[in-house]
Amino acid sequence: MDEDTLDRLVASIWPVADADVAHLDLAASEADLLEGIMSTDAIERPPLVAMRARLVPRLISIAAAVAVLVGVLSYRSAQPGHPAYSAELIAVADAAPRLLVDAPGWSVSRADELSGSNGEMTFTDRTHELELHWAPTAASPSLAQDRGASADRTATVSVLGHPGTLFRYAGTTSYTTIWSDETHTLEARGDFETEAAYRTVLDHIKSVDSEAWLSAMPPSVIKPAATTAAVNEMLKDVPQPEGFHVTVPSATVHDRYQLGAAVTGQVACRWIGDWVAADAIGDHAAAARAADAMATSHHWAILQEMKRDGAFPRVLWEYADAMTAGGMVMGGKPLTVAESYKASLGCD
Amino acid sequence: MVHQVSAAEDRFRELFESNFRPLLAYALRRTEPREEAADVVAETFLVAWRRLDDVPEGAAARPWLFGVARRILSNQVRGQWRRSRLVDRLRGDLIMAYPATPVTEATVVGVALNRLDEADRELLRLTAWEGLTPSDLAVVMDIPPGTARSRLHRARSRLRVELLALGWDERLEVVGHVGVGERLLARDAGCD
Repeated sequence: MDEDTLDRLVASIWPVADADVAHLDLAASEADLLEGIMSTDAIERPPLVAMRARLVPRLISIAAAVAVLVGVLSYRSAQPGHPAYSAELIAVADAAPRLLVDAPGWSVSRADELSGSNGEMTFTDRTHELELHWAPTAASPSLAQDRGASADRTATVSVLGHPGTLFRYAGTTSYTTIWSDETHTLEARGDFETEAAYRTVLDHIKSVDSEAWLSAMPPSVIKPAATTAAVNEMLKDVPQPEGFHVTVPSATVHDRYQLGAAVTGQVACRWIGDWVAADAIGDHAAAARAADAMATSHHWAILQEMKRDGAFPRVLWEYADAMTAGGMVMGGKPLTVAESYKASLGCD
Repeated sequence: MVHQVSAAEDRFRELFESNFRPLLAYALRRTEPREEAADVVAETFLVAWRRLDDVPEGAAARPWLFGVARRILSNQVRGQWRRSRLVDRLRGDLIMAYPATPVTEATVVGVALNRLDEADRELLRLTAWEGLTPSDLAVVMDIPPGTARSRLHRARSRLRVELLALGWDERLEVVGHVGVGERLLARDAGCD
């Protein structure tokens, strides 16, 4: 059976022939789809949930080194009403841009995955939202080029004395501005009725000191005493390897998404590590035990809760599924579980 | 800026028109029910529109699109297009075109193919169904061309092994259309 024969055999069972597709009367829907796509924003603007999915594993993996702001907002009350933030937290704040919208009615509604070099915050006046992202300055040229590719208007602006570029996404009232300070590239994005309204908010961005910035964080992310109880609650339906204990992130109170990722990630990393080790030595019973445990992850309550906010559960489930289906993870470039799980799930 | 946008639109329009049917065929061959292909096509072109600078020029664009579609299929990710009227229309057209998709008859070849892992299976399908070269396979699968060639060779070898294990007889002139039950019954009855 030569190669041509094998290819011919495979070709013989194709379920839909090219000729059939060529003759389908799809002209109208084809044109609609083309125009529909081209009328959308031509720029890839990942929703925040997608950004979270990308950032969380990375941050978890370097959690020991990077003080994730949301996680280290545990403060010691040296004096009532005067929180003294940990030195670790102050260091993060010192390295961050520390910007706030200093206008009546505006406050911080969300702060995620902040480190000195990267972070994202959302400000709101309950009618509008302004999303602020920052990253190392090296990101600046590609970011501006990316935004410019789909803008129908650009303008030069000044933000806190730094020259920046304002973009209006083509055909929308969505605006974004990119500028750089000495160490960061920053982007402030929001939907506003007019460019003037957006610029007014931009003009109210203010740089503050570390204590003022930390004090502005929403109360929901400051839960210093609840971490252990939250971890135990998250683990109530999560099978764990014998003798394994989850390490509660030290001095941290993540938001539930981050904490959930840290906790379930630890368990998954251990199960997958056991599975890889068992597979390597042909210990089928141990491998099956790990795969079975991970298969239950589809029902872990915390992952079901987290899937609304980001893709970490989906990534974990891809690995759980791969463990019972040949060991290949097919999302994106096909990779083996063994070669990719540590990077994908942030396993140490 | 206006010129940039216009040039991008022209390029995307050409990309879309050149590849819509092949991409739809690719998706139709891999989705069940068939109208799911509408979502895959829409999402793939949406990615291409948003990442137009990443889309290779010329003939290399098609395997790039197949690669995106493959990832969309693999991830089982569906965006908001499912709720779009535009896709509803295309879905409706496909439902009309494939009103009652019959369950594909199990064939010896189909069973053998299904015994391979997904990566091997897809390499064989891309070669036989989409007519791709090993260089194209490399783009779709995001692997080096040399690796694509060796994996294709390996996939063919594995298919050969599975076919023989299923009692495949090269002397049969009509390939691929013999029900596996019928084929195995024939073998069991000593009809080979």
